[in-house]
Amino acid sequence: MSDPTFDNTETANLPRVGAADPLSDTAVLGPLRGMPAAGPQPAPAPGPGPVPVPGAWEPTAPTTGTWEPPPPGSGAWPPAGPTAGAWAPAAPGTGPAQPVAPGTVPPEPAGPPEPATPQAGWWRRNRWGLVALLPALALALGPPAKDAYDQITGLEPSRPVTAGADGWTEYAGARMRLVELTDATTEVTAARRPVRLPPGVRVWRARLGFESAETERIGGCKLLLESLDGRTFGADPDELDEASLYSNFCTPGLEKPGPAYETQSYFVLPTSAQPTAVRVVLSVESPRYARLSPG
Amino acid sequence: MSEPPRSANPPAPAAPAAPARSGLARFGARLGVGALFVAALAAGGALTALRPNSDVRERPFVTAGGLGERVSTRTFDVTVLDVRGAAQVARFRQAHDTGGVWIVVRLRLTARNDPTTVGYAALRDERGRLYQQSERFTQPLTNSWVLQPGIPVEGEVAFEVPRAAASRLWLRLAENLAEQGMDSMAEVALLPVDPSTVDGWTRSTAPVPLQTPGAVGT
Amino acid sequence: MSRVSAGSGAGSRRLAARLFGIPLRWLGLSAGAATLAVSGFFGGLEGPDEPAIPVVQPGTVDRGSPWNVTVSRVRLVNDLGTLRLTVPGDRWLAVVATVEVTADESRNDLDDVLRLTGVLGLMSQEPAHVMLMRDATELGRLNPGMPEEIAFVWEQSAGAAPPGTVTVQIYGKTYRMDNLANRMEWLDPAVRAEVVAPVQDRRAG
Repeated sequence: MSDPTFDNTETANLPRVGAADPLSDTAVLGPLRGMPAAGPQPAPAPGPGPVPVPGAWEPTAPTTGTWEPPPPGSGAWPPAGPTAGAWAPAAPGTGPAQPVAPGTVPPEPAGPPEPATPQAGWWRRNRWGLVALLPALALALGPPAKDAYDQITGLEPSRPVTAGADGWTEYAGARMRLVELTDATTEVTAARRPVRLPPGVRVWRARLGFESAETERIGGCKLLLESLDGRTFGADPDELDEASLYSNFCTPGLEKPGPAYETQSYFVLPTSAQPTAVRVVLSVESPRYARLSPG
Repeated sequence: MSEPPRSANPPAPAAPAAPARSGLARFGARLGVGALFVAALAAGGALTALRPNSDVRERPFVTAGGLGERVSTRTFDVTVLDVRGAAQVARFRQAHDTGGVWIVVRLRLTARNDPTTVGYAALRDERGRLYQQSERFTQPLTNSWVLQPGIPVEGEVAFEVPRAAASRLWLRLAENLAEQGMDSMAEVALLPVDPSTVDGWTRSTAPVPLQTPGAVGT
Repeated sequence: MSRVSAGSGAGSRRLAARLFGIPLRWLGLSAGAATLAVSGFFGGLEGPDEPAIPVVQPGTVDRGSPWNVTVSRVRLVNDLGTLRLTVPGDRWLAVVATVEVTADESRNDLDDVLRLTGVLGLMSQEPAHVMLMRDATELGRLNPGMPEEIAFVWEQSAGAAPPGTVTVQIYGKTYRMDNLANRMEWLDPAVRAEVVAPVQDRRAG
């Protein structure tokens, strides 16, 4: 589809702005002069490279140096691997080595604390720590998870606010209702400046009633027309750009100032889509939005 | 032969084997702890090294297709209708030449469930280089046009690419211009073009007017 | 240790310690002095060198990432078509350079390519306009592998003296892992080269 008003010969003679530009002249540059007195600014140092980690992780001598094999039957973890033999306490009475008689306090200071009940298993010795772990985990993971959930659900308008018994919907400090939802296709296509609409497209006009003391609070609203199959359509669509249609969303027209006013907005829908409700969406109220049904 | 505990007693010279044994045991114990420590560090390091970075983890979900096929993303459907090349394109009666070659892609776009825009349009070449749509003039279809569900809109998008890259290209479309990660993206393989065709495009002097987008029948 | 503890009295222990201590200290000191001397001989005692910024001739390509830059000419002009000076009577200082994106993606940070130093009265540090010479349109985006002649335009206050020479700094960036975002990004803008160019005064009138 070519532009009907376009003419190739016309374009070929278009003014070439760049060519007429005073910068385009490719005059030979003079020889480079000396460095200016101000001198060049020093370049920032190059970005930091990988920094070697100092060997600070080495276990300190008092801890490892005085570590003794645990008493037999204490259930302490023996390390696996070839060095295990030096570690594993022999079963009581079988092996030649009895490193420490039960109850004997190792003489070196800062050794691992001797368990109160040497026969108790690991689970028993650590039972309070394990019990405390549960609320700690809940505290550590709970708030971020809730935060993430709130953020995700808060992004999209997902919670409709519907009308009360009087037919008005209270949202963002204002009262609003859908006054009328009509097929305006003929109005648009038969207007003084008719809009060429492709086949299968219908125009809808929604008239909304508002009661709002502070209209600036709902001024930035977005309107969506919801169809029976759950799809939504935006107000003032690009398809109607050629038509001089006045969509004023949620703000009062200039001619009718006051706390109670009506607005109108236009939508395009495929013929197959049956409109059911108008959604008024304000991002600051997300995920709440007003869902206005006719009647 | 029980090993004497290293108690407050002075070293017992009577048992020559015992100190050696004790030293060996302690050495073994330290070696064990050290080995475990190194193993834990190595395992952690390996996990960190193997963990994919954000570019990989948050890459777009690409739906691939070909010329004339309808390719669906999360928010819109696209069908590439036609591809042509030119040395100059014209928009609003102003001609624009290029140091490479213009690739003009004619598209049909339809929103799926909600009003949406297609803000990111780029061509990818065989080397993986990405050429975003030209910003030298407004391209409303892939900048500002709000697509309505079920109402297809057709129009053209113009790209500048080096001549050497023009033979084999893929069109990439996504909703968000600034960030395409973790969202749907359409990738349409354009038909391969032989270099002589590209040369032909660059030789033609008449500017190719770009089609203004508009809704088409459902 | 065993030798020290095996000493018979406090006096002899001190003596032993001194005997041990003196050579050790001497050894340490002399080793340190030797290290200093050797490193000083090789320049270790001098202050850290600032990396020298190479000076590139006008018209010579400076290759790097994410763009290759060739500064062609610098001009003072009064009028640049549709561009409007913020203060009437000011002048435009324009650097014309050929830029080719060497990165794999289109770049929209062209106002980071060049800076001027030693010019008084510039209204902004970054260029006020980045114009494509080909058709005098404002250039927002440059595609990889497509060198273009670009005018980087600054507004200079009428009160400042028109420069006879300017130093144009060519900036580069590094593609590296952003530790915060854990993704590859173009970071660390840094001066990569400098071009000292004479200013051609093309002001009308």
